[in-house]
Amino acid sequence: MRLIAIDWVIIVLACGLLLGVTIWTKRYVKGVADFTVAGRKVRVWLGLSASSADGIAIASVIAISQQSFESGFSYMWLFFLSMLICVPLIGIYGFGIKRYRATGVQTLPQYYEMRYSKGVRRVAGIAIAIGGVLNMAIFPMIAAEFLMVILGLPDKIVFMGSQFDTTLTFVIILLVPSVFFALLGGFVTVVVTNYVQAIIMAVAIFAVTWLALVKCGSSVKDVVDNIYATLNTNIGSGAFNLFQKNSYGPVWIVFFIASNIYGVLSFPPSLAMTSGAENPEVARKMYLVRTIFNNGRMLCLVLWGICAMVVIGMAVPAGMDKQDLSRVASAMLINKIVPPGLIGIVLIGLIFAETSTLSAYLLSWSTIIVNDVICSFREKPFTNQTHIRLLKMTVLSIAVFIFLWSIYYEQSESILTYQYLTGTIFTGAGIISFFGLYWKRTTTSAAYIALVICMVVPMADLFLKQHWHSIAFLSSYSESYPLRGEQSGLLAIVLAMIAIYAASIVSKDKTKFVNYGIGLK
Amino acid sequence: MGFWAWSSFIYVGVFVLINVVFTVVCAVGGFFDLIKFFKDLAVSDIDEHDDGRVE
Repeated sequence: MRLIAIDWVIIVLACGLLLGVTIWTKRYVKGVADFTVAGRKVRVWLGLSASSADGIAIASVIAISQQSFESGFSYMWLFFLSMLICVPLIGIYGFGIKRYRATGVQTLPQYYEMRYSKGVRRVAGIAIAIGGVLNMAIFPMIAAEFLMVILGLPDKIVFMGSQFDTTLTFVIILLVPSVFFALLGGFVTVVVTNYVQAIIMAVAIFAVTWLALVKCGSSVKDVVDNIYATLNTNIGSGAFNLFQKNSYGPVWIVFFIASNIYGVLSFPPSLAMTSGAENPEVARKMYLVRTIFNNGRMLCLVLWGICAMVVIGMAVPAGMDKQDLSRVASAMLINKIVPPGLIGIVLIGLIFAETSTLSAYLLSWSTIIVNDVICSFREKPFTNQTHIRLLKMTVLSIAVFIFLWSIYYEQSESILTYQYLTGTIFTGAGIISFFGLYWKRTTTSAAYIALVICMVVPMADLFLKQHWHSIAFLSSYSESYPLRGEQSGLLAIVLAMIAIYAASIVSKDKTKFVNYGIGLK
Repeated sequence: MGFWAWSSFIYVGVFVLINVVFTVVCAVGGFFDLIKFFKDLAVSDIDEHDDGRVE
């Protein structure tokens, strides 16, 4: 364990501050609207700061730094290419986002009921909840692994005479405060705690980036030369040029861009900001600002992976394989470069990044399950008290599922592939959003088909890869699941787009299309 | 060092600097918004029919 007294003081003080804020904000939760949407009182800068915290978990840190450790700057260019399309299309022109805000809905499934039917609202709510929960279900597990490497902890720890699995212990340590923040004050608490966490997290990210660069060389020229030489030796030209053979390839590029476009109208935690914006023009500007802001933070994490390659090298330690190394490389970097005394701030920044994301997502998916699935079956609405109790029970249930998933799931591909593949489950929601907003012929039955395709194809990939070898007729057909994650994801998106178009043409359903583009600037 | 290599370094440098500045701006702006947020919540009334949804 690398922590010294001052580190523990920082950790305890920071946790105390957050606990105090959590308890103090409870008094402001008077009704369900306060619990679910913070009473719709969040202004722009607070919204941007708070959402910057829930946009990044330790999983995101690992996912991005893993990519840069394996592919150098290519991941950055992949993201840039996506921005090159998304920023003009969505951030400047306002494609999708302005019309969505013009509908006036607070959540996506509400829009689906308006545009399609209550049934589509329920199915979409289920798809979004499944995708969202599976997407976040690996967060605590890989965060635990990451923190163990930073702290230099073994696989098993002994406490009061009993032996505990360190990974699962950390999973519980991360889940408990996240559930606590979500349960105690709902979205009011999440907004405030996320703001505090965002500041601490930013300090941690900038501090590690600075220390990592300093370790790579004694001057700017030195740093640049060392990074260039290391990337050239270990990866080659594919470390800088996205279009080289040893880089991502066309399937990943198209899948990444398509996911990011459809993700604009399928990811509820981001859409909460859009729904809460004053008007469509403000929604567009917030998207533009968020995208550019997130890009800069992403680049710090790209540098972590690259600096890890320079500082710790590519030699795989005993007991690991190449993918294990790429996953924990930035943790090994932090372990090496951040001195005791500062490690406390970095650690608490990372833990806060994790808990802020987990608590925001726990609330988001619970709200969708309760408001858009369970409530849609009831004629008479729940009372305030029952509604909040149901939300809290759902938060707890999701947390239990995440713990069980940590035991069941074995990582077979990169974190980024897993995140984008599970994201595809709710990309179906994005597809029916865009088609619903822009094409008057999109029908209800076509929407169902697109949602189901985007649920079935990625889930088949996830589950069959886990059990391929234990199913005799599958393993006799092929040694392993025939598609990579990005191939399954792109296949789902393409099939869903073809299906929604074809089914809409063939179907005789009447549509409830409203052109929200009229009157928009 | 080829075009892609030096472009990578310049791109990273510029955007990381922008992010640092923007983080400070967001933190300061967020602080003032936080004060207004609590003031607004303190004076708001409970709407029994509002559960955060729009029907």
